[in-house]
Amino acid sequence: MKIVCRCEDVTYDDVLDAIKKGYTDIEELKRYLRCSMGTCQGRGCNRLLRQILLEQGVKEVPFTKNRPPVKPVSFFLLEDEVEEREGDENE
Amino acid sequence: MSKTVIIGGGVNGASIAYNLAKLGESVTLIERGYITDGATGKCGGGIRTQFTTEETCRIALESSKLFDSLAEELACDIELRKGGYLILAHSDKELEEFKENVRMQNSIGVPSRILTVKEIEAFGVEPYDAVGASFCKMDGVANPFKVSFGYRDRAKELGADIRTHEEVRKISYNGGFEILTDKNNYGADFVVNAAGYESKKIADMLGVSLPIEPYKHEIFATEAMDHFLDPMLMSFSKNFYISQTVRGELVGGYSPLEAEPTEDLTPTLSFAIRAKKLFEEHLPQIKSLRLLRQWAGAYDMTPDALPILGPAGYERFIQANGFSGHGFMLSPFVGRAIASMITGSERYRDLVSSFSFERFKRGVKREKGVVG
Ligand SMILES: Cc1cc2nc3c(=O)[nH]c(=O)nc-3n(C[C@H](O)[C@H](O)[C@H](O)COP(=O)(O)OP(=O)(O)OC[C@H]3O[C@@H](n4cnc5c(N)ncnc54)[C@H](O)[C@@H]3O)c2cc1C
Ligand code: FES
Repeated sequence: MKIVCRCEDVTYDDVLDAIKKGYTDIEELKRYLRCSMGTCQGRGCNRLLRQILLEQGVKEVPFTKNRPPVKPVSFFLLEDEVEEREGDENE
Repeated sequence: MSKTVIIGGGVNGASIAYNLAKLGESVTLIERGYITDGATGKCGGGIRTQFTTEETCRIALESSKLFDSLAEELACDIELRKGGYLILAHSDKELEEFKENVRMQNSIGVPSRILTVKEIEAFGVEPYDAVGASFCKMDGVANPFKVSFGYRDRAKELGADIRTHEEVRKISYNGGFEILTDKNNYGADFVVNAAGYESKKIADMLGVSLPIEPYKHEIFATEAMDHFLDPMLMSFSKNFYISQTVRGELVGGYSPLEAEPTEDLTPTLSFAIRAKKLFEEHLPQIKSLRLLRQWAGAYDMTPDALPILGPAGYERFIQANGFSGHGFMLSPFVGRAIASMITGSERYRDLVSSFSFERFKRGVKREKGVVG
């Protein structure tokens, strides 16, 4: 069994199955399978997912949109960072 | 040609398509992007029955019951978890209003009740400035993607024609409807307008003016943590909600009380910071968590914050829009009610009569239980 997405436990067969059901838009496929929506936010699987779509004859496969932040940030740090920035402005 | 063309592939369009197909009706659904591309894909997944108007409570109750058997009906795990909704009251005056709401809710079968500050603590929630709360164990959360795709997959199996990546550009009426997209031309007896905040643009194509405006709402998800929060925590006066999904992520949002309509849905850093400050007062754990994603969507708001269900302008031009922040929780009901309307059944007639387009001519009372 080939794994495509480690975070969300999605296999190669799962992807083929979904494509067969008509999910050929990478954004839709991502949401249907949760593939690329795990903790690593697709860093581990997004390229594979694109590759499978291309391999299955889907012509245009755009890169998926990422939701901010680019990397997970701690809420705690988030505040510090902004207070620092606000501090800078006051100087 | 299908008897019915549905415009919009959000959870409501998908639910209507499924319910029509289940009744053996011919139906085509047209979605500009992909299924869940609109507000549905931005949604917090909350399901509740605690509203301030009786008509809304009634349809929310019906819908909440339908959710209980939906996983079985759609043969997919919709990640439903009914841990209740806990709505904080931040002043004695607000608590008095909640007591009245609970009385009304109980009278129609919604099992809500008032909580004391001690009882709030027992849910693992820091009361902070709360003086009490209203709680209903029948409320909860489910996964909007799973529900929408579940409806879409079953609808398709039952013969519904699902067209994605196709945009409706023009509609005309000449005894029947003609729907023109960027790819095709369709005829139909019924058109269902389930295009979310863009429903106004769809109705404009037929010269019907819907009182719907888009309002931006931001939302975030954290990384997963061990389960600690059972209910969806919510506040009307601070305008926030937060819940923990089956997977352990915290999903929450808040919105400024005063806002202007807009279609700009850019996520902002100031939202994340404000949200964190609001939530750490009641859930100190959040400080140590990492923010995984944040995004924004639009509520399709009517003047009374209640949906439009039924014809507008033409007898067979059916609206399923204006859902404000409640279109997901109502979708199982909406699918049934609209399908029943199209097939000429009387079953849901009384329940939906309060949500007619005509009501705006008479003047309306606003639903106050709106959040986010
Ligand atoms: C941040 C946020 C949190 C929310 N939280 C909750 C919650 O906890 N509980 C709850 O019940 N609700 C919640 N909601 C509200 C809920 O998401 C919506 O009410 C619901 O998803 C609406 O579904 P819909 O199918 O009516 O519309 P949408 O999902 O908006 O679907 C409309 C579709 O129509 C398509 N469309 C538009 N124009 C055209 C055209 N010309 N041709 C073809 N297609 C077209 C769009 O692409 C879109 O996919 C939330 C909303 C937001 C933004
Ligand atoms: S490997 Fe797919 S989201 Fe991480």
